[in-house]
Amino acid sequence: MKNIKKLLIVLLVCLLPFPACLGEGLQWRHDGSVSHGQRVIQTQLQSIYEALAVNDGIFLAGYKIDKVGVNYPYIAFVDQKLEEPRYWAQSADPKQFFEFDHRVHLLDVEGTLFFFEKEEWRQAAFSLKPDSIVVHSSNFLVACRPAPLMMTDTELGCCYSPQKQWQVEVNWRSIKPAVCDGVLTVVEERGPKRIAHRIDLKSGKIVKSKQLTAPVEDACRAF
Amino acid sequence: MELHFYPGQKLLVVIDKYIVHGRFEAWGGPASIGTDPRMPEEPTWPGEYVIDKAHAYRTNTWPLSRITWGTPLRDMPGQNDVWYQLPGGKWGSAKADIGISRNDIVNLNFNLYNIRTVPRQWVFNDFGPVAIRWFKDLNGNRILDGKERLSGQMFHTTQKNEAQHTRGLPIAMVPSHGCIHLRPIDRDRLFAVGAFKPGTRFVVRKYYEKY
Repeated sequence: MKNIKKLLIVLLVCLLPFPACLGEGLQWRHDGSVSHGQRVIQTQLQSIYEALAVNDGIFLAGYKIDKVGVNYPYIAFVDQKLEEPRYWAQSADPKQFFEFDHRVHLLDVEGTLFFFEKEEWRQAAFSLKPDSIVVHSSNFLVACRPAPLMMTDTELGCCYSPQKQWQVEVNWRSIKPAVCDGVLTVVEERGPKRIAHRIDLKSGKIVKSKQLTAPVEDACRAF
Repeated sequence: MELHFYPGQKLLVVIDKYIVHGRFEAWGGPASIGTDPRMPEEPTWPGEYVIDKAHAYRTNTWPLSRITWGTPLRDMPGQNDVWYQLPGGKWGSAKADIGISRNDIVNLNFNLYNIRTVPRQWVFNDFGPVAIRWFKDLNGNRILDGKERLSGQMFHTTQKNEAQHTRGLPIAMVPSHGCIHLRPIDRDRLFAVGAFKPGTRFVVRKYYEKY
């Protein structure tokens, strides 16, 4: 009886909205392998760089690499049982998975958004700026685009929300913006100076800024 | 031989014994200080200078320029990393050292060369394969010595223009942060006629001056 109660409690916990619960235990590596405990499978991806664990498995983004070194961008899904993975070829490099509006979404490097529905990736009605990352996706999206890598590119880094219709220019690059205690924190780079900003998620207003006197490992350590 | 740069006209003139040997399109910085938060754009400073040397340039100021153009690369897909060769033959990690992962490099190469590969050499340095340096010759001996220092501004091509040149595409020139941008083919021509020979007199005209 006690064992049945324990089992029921475990099942109940796993049915709650903890996305990684039944997917937990799945480990992925850059070399394309996925493991669950002692079991390991090798996917067809030779280079994985992004993943999202969900209830029943894990989504992976990476490349199949051919004999002459050409990389073909793919998404793969490996279920918890490590059965034969599924693959979807992509026209642009996947950038990030995230959950939004009760669905798994994919953002690619061109800013195109897709959501996963009925075993297919479908293009969303709106897109984000190229090279963006999503930093908040609870009820609305907040995304940030980094400062360009090339010296001759002139589009500045920024954070923005398409739903809340705000945009703030913040020139970040090496430290990813993050939501810390409910507030977006961005470490901006102005030449050698590092300036941390706290930005209200709903309004986009900068509520606090301070110049950093020492390096920080992540945005949440700036304040 | 002398070089005369007219930044307001985006024009570089090569003169030898009062004869014009060539006119080349060349883009300098803006006429007044800009607002790029990474590093404000500045005018190509008017003045009289002397050409010193040409070399593959690197700087920590710009992430992609932390590795010299042409540095051998080693693809490490199983680590989502690309290694670059260090002096002495050891290897550094692009991911660890400059914060650029393998998929960033694949994407960069695709944007420039329309192919998703990790190139065999670093072709992303903002200053191209070679930068031509100049200095203010304080003592008039046409040699960099004493308190004389190389200018932080220089002649160079961009990684985008190098890729366009390699692919046979039109070269899209853009303003600089103060340096002088050249087309790859013009850089080669200028070398061929001896315009970048060390000791060559080089004059940057004022922005309002016209040739």
